[in-house]
Amino acid sequence: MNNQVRELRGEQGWSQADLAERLEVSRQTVNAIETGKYDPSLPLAFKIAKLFGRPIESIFEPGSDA
Amino acid sequence: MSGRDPNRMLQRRYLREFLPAMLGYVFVLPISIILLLRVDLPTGWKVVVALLPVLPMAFVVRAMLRHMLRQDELQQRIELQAVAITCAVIGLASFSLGFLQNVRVLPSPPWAMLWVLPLMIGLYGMVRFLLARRYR
Repeated sequence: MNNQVRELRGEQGWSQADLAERLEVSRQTVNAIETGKYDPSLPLAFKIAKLFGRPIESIFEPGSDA
Repeated sequence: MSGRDPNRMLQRRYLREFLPAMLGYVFVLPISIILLLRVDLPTGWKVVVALLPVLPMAFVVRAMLRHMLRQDELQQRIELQAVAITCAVIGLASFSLGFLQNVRVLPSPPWAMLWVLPLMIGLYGMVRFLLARRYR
């Protein structure tokens, strides 16, 4: 799965630690999501979408394996 | 932001629960050993004194479990994989040793079982460290 989390975080001027705190996850988890090493659960994906005020499908899109 | 890193707060909370329990174990273990070696205790008391170190170690295990349950979904995924690999390795190793001891190829010292928990904790720590590196 591909995502726009890094770009959206950059637009807000947040560090990974800032985003991690807002999402109540570890910085490692934010980094793993941004680098595509980990696909978040649906509840966490919705939380990310809500935080950035965007629909979930504009942030996450299926990768080549989907 | 307030600068309150959730991960660091979890770590601190874990250490607040883990360290007193581990210190309790380090304190109780020699007392138990000395009493068992130097005092002629009746069987009932021998059981109680021999099991004394289990109590603080149960709090150590409790601290570890509570820490796992407080973590976020990726950390829990890493924990699950680490626990599964550790159980598989230790389970198969002790199963194999049991068969070899059964045919007396290996000795069966009475203290052998004491090493299962420390080995599990040590292996779990190593496996967890290696798995966590995959997500960095």
